[in-house]
Amino acid sequence: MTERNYWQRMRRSRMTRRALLRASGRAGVGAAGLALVGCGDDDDDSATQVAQQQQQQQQAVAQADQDQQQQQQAMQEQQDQQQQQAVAQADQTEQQEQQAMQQQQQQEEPVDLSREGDTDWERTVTVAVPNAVGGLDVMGPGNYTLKWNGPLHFDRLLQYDLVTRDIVPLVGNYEWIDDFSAVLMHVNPGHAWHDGTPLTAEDVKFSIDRSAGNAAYNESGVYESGVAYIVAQVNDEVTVIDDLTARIPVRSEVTAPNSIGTTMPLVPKHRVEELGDEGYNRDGLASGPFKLESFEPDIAVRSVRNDAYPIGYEDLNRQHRPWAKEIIQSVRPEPVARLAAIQAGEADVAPSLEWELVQEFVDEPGYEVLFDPGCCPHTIFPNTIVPMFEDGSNPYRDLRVRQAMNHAVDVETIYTTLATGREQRAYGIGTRQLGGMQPEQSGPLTMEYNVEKAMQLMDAAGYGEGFESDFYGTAGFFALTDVIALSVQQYLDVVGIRTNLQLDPLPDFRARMAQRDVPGLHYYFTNQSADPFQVIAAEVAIGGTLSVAEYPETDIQDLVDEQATEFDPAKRAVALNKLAERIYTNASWLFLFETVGTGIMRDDLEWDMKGNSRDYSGFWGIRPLVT
Amino acid sequence: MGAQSISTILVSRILQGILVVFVVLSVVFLVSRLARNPVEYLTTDQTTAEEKELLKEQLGLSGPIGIQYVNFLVDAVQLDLGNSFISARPALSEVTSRAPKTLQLGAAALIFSLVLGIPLGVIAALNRATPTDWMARFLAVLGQAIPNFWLGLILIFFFAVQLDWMPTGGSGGVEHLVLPTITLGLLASAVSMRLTRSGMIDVMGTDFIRTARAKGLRESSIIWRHAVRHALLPVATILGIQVGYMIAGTVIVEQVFAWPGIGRLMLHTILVGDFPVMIAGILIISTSIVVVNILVDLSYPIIDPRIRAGTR
Repeated sequence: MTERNYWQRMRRSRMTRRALLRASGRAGVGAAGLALVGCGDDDDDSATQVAQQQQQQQQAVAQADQDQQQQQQAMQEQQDQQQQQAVAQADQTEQQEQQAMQQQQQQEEPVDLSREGDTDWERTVTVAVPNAVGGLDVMGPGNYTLKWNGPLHFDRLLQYDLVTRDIVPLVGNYEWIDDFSAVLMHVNPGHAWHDGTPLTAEDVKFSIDRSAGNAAYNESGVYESGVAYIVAQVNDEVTVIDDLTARIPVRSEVTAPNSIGTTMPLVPKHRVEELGDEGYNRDGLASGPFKLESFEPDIAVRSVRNDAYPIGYEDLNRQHRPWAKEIIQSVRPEPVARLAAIQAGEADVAPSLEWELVQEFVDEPGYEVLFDPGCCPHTIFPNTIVPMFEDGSNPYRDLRVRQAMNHAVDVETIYTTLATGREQRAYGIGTRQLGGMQPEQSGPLTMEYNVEKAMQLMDAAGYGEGFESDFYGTAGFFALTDVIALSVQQYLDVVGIRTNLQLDPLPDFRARMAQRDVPGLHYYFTNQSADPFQVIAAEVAIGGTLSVAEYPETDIQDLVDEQATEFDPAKRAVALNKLAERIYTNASWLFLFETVGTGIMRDDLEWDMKGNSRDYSGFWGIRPLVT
Repeated sequence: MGAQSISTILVSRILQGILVVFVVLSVVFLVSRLARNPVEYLTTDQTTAEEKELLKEQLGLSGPIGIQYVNFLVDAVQLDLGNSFISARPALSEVTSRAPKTLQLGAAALIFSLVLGIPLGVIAALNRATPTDWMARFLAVLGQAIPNFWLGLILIFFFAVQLDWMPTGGSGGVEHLVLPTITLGLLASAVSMRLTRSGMIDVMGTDFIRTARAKGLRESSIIWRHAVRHALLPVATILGIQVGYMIAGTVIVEQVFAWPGIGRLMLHTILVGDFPVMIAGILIISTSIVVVNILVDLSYPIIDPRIRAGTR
């Protein structure tokens, strides 16, 4: 029985004020009439007098009757008028009352976002995951990238709205101060660590200091975190203003709140100081939507719902209190074994399974195939920094060669043949919500598959005979990258770009790319976060950690700087859009497509991430349904 | 060549074993240092070159490789192999914490292979050139031909998904051990079966078996007390190699069945370049194989009295 039904029944059984007033009005008129009928005088003197008196009396009576009738009529009219007014007023009052009641009901009973009746609040959801190793200290080298731990248990200061991509509060909110030279981070009261200790500004300062290796608390006084780069924009000492406010001096970078606020995991000062680094790595404590219950390396991770998580179900576009009572991450390294676990009923979700494994389940009852939105645009970066040939030349420095490269590859055929077919062409760095090119903008600019045009461009650039180039890719990082690389190689070969393909594990590939002095093509990917500031800094900006395709002769670096220093969000979106368009029209890279990740889930679950990827960081969004 | 005492053999084998372990560790150290850069795995796209250098220094990966090697040997002698790059826990304890699981699986697979392989070999030999023999030999060839990776997946599909008799993976009760044991032990059982069969065929034609029959011993006594004992010598010899295969084979089988043993840990550490754990794992594995082979050498005199006669 819902609260709404109870009130509806109550309203139906109550006598309305309007009906009450009508009844009382009618009763009053009747009573007045009865009183008037019973009125009169019984005195009688002489006959004449009596007659006169009678006549007079009759006249008087007649007059009195007339007066009385007039009086009664007037009273009746007045009473009717009053009654009508009263009824009208009652109607108005009742309407107001009904409105007030509705408002009150709406206030008391907001739309049930938790869908209490539909949700199985006691359900344990088992997720088949490929591995669960490492330590519990989310800041330790290597641990930050561990999916089974970080996003599930640890909070950040801020988060991105799933739909708008705006930065919205998580543990706290921020405001710029001192002419954009510092950020005030406000911690929301009521946010607590899983042991119940309040999360304060001291924890914020400690987390930043520890990330940067500045927090002197252990015996050696030194801690080298794996996430120092996150707080690289902190310019000076973080100061605690009060329990819930910290002042963070930053370099003049508009992305400071993004990088520090949305990516730096918060760790509890009291626990780290108590246990030391090694102890904390064994016995981590966090504040996120799930509490770590147990961790058996490479076997299973049990996490229970944090019922005290302060962000409830009022805004489903934000990380909030989970629906599932418990999440078990059960390790199944082999993709086929993960699928088997789902089929055997040992697991409910396998978020990351290749398309070739899950495609037969698209119409299978009992299962839902998860399609992530396009992400991580596959992109091939030509090294334009160093010479490729002994004469010092580098064909990729020529815009026409890069355009030819883009016209030479039939992107649609590749993704419809090899992948899910739901992919989209990649246009560069920005998501559409955050300044990326809109379809009507990118459409006319698209470098369509056109071999003839590609060969004309090669001719015009003086490479009609083609040239040889190295081509480096990764194997196993994304699904099918090896096959995609092979197909790209064949397309390029047609227009004379003869490549020597070499596929390496990701660490080796990235190490080579980070050297920035290896000529040839490097097959990597671009933005996968809500805000592309990281990929711009790493892959677009001159001197970025992975920047191999640099174009100092263009205005690209100016646009990079423009978006990085524009504090107005709307203007920044415009700046990002200009940058995205410029990178594309410059044919800076060979643009392939946005990869669509797939997975599988039992159909008695719901997992709505508003069009975002359904991965480990969003387990709070899994809703077990009542069946 | 004069007869050697058991103690001489033992000392000799131990010294050889130490040399083997030393060579293996040295090769692994040098190859891993040259082939992998774990810093790349431990960092992200945004990590700067300076930060990577700092981390490299912190992990002991900077400086000339010769000095790194000497430091490694000094530490290894003291069984200090450093901490895991990933978990920051001592590398040796990371491996030893997984050892019981691998021992459990390995022992189960070894027992399975012997229990299946030896009787099947005996039966095949005693029914030589009959359909029973052909069937046994066919099964042996099949066992040797099927890749255990594929076999594991087929067993999961059939027994866990279709029949729902067994779990698809993980560790826990005995039921979790059944499919990985079959997967790991089938090849070894095929080898045992073939060796037992050929050994039995040889032995059954020897003089002492004829003598035993002439003495009127019961056939079952001749087979199981005299013939099988002799036929098992090559099986015992191959046992050391089988143990090595089983330990190596756990890398694949543990991966398929999500069995949390040394094999899976090794695979992961190799992929991410977690050198300390990788070297600790190889130390444990190579030492185990050396020890098992020494034990096999020492078991020869027990199995074969002729060898016992050659030792003092």
